[in-house]
Amino acid sequence: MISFPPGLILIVAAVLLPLMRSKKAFNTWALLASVSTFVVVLLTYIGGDGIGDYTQSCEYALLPGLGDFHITLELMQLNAPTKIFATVFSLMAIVGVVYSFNQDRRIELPAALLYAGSAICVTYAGDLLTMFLFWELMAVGSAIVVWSGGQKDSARAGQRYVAVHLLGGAILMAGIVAYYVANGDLALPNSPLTVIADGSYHASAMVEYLTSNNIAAWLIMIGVLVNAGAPFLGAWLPDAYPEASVSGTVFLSAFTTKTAVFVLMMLFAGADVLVWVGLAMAIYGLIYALIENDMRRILAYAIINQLGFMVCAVGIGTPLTLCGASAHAFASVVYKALLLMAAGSVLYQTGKRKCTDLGGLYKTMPITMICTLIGGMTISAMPLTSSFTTKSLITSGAALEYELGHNPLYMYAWFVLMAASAGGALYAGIKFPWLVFFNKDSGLRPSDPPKNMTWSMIFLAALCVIFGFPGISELTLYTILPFAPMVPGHGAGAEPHLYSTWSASHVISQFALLAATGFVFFSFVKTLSRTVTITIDSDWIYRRLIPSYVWGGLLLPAVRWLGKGHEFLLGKVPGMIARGVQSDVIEERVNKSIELGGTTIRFSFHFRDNRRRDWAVGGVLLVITVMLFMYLLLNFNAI
Amino acid sequence: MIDSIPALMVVLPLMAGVITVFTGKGDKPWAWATAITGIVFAMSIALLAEVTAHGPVTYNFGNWPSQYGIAYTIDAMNGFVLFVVSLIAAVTTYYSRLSVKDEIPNDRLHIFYALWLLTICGLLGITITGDTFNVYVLLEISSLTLYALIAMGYRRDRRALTASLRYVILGSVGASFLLLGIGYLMMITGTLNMVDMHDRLQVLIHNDEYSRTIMVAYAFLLVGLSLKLALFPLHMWLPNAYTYAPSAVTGLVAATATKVAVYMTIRFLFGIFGRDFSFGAVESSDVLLTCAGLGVLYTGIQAARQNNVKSVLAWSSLGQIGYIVIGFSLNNENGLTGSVVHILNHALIKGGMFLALGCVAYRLGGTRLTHLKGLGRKMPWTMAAFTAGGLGLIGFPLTGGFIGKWYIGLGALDAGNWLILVVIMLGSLLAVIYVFRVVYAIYFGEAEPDSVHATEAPASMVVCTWILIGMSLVCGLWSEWSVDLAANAAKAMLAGFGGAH
Repeated sequence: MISFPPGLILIVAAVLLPLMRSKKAFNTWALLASVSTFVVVLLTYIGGDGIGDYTQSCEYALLPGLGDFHITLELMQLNAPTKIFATVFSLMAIVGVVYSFNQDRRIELPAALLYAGSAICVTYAGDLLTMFLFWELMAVGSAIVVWSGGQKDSARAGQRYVAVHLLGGAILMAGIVAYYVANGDLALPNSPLTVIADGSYHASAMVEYLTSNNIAAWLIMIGVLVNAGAPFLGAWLPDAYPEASVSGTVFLSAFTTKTAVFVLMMLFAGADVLVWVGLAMAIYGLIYALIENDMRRILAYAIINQLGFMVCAVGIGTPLTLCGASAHAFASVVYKALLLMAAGSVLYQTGKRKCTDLGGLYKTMPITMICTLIGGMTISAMPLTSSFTTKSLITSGAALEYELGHNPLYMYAWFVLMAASAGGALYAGIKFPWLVFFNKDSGLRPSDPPKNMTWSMIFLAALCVIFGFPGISELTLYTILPFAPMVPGHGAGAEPHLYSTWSASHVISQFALLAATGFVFFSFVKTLSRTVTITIDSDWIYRRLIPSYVWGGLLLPAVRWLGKGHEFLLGKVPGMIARGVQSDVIEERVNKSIELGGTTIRFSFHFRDNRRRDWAVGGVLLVITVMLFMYLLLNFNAI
Repeated sequence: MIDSIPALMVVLPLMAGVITVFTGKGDKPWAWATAITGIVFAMSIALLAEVTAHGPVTYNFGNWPSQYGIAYTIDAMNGFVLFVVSLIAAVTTYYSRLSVKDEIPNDRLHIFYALWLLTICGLLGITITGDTFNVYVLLEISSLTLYALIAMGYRRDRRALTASLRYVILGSVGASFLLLGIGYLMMITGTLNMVDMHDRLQVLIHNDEYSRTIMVAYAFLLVGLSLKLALFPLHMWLPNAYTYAPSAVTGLVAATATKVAVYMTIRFLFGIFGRDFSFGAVESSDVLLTCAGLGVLYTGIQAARQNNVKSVLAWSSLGQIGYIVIGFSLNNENGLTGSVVHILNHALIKGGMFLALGCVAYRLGGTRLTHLKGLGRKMPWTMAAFTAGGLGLIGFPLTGGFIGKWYIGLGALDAGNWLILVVIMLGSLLAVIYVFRVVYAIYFGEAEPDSVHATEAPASMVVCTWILIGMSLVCGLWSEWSVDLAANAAKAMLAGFGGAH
């Protein structure tokens, strides 16, 4: 049996990777590491009895000397959703490595492997601390990936990225500490839901903490939502991802957000608040993707839009929707990477990022164009693509939950998700390919990208189609889902059966939806394609508001003003008092003014020597006296 | 020999300091000082081992009974501080050769090292002595020499003179407050010996006699000590003094002077007045916590505004002092342990960082932010040390700075004071800002024309820098021994006078 989390292979390999001098050895080593990780991931669950088969704990006195703070790190636990997440993560590591074969940045790939390895380790975590450690390691790896992007704004974007993730990590850590204080135990149960024999289930302890408004649960949730790209917390995503390199973005799109979904699923399955968050994300991602012009930013917002589905599904929290969330995570990692690879190929070949600068590339980049179309169809949940199954698991789960409990929340969820799904078709399925590959002729004549990039795209495109084929998902994906996706049978006494997407009504309604979307797009194609836009997102808060307005406009003046007040109180007042007492030393009368906010306050006082400020100790002496009196007065009646 | 180590700890540097004047020119004064501080460091280790193994050690000068003569008493608390001070003294002295030659007129090196040894002698003496008046005397020795050492930075920047003058005036005020406080206590207890003073004060407090006098003595002492340890808002002497002092002096002072003042405060509050009086009968906990808490935030913001990196670190020292004060003001074991262990860790971190800046000053002639731009490639070892130290200032886990904050945080939890946790968090966030502002310039800034040809500092300087920074990292990773020592010290102080009865 495998007794270590497979991600460690990648982490160790990443550390050794910079030692490989020649390009060939470098690539071979990276490929070897990622392939063996994939194999080991498969070995961890193939042949076992299933979930919770074995755990590998590692007794470790964390930071010896911190008192009785000895912690057992459960490095290796096969959690219910681990199988599918770890599989897709390790698969993406392989494809990402192949795609970046022709990159010549020596730091990016090691960082990306570290990042991928830690993401895999997060899925095998058996307690919150292990999860947190690898979570932070992911942040380190991904930040380096952003930093080595080589785009003109990479350094600054990386800086903001680090700041946001440090903050998110700190909040998460605070939550974990609070949880430890409240709970006394950091262990993670190996399944998001405790399923009881008759098919009913109850939610995790963390959700109970959430409903009782324990601060621990809220802090942890906020910390995780930062990584999930929730509205207001997640503006780092479209800020940083497009600034990474062509290959870096592919890695970035796969791990951080999907790990966040994994953690949300493990901790907060069935928390209603996540339904709202998820819906907000779906809508917010959609709107921004529609008005954005930079092709990779469009796709970055598309990630948020698609994440909305998963977060919402986690919030609904039935076995069926959790299956939907994991399966959709799998599908969306694949097609999002595919689309970003396609966009990356276009950028790599043309050096242009804005849709308005591109167009008419279909003739010279046919393979990229076809792959983009497949990716676009998949994101639109076109029948015969993988996400037709996976998205339907989510929407059907919402509908089913509404039928069972008549909670209107799930009805809203269903409506919004259907609308957002159609919207997804609008921006990524049609807008992106249309503006880049068709539309007007930009005059650019780039060829398809180098072989390794082309083949990675073809491979992912093939995955999108294969898993969409009727019957294939049931044989493959279904077996590694956290639960068996069962739906109750219709009519009295009917047995529950395995969920299937392929009903005539469903297929027809999906086509109708997509057709309507297509109609909308081509009616408004002029409006949509003319957008040379720079969208403002909540990252404005820390790009502009905090540095310029809060720091530069508010805090700094406040500090300066305080400094003036301080100077006045400590530098001038004592002198004034002194001179007031011994009035014979007055030599001059000077008017001084102080700016307070906008109003000028004028002081007129007697004044002897202007240069005393450098030497002034009078102020401090006054403070000393005040302190002494304070002690005496405070305690005058104490004894 | 082992019996007279307590006396030698002070007498040796005192005599050696005077002799230094006659050691001649060149490297001789430095070699002499290095030898002396090395011996003192070895003795402090022996003393600490002895105290840890067999409990407090008392040494009576001239075999006079402690009521009449001067007694030196070393327990877990001051044994630890002695170790910190002599460690920093030994490392900075060895480091100082090139840096001092560069910054001090070369015909005055013997004077410099004489003052240097006397400062160290004073600091060690304050820590080791068990006699309150002796504290005052040695405080004057260390302060007066220190004023002169700081003023010697005038060759690089003439503002060293005003900074030193300001320090002279405020330091003297602080010292005279201390003297007044000690005088009042002597008046009512009739003794200067700390143990006796503690015992008699407890009786007086218990019988409710002289309570006003005790309280006034307490107020004078606490304000004087707050001034000496640069507690906000009595901190104004510190930033300029640290900024304009010669590099090696800053390294020594920043790591030891305020730490010794903290030790004195802990000794007076817990060891002489007793915690029941200091934090029960009079309201100092809230005052100290408020001052320190506001100080952490205020100094953090100030540190983020400075353009001279030495100033950044000086302001940051004030913030770190704030944490230490918070720790012992919480009046519980975890908080006090945090304070004591932070004395060590902050001394290592800040000492190391100032030494790193000394390397920069040696190569580039200044420590402004613009000097450090792009130095990550030119002086990789020095800058790596600076960065590692910076992480410690933030309190990054796995660095020494984390351990103290962790225990102070635990202490705040024990005291049920959530606000303190918020202050620690905000303080760390400010530290992230001011550290990364510098680190960013180091690794991402474009080198200025003047620093294009800068190279790595001489090996002796880099090695000393890394000894301190490396130790701070080791103390972060394997903190058991330092925390055990600190916890022993904390227990001793909470129990009253170190169990020296």
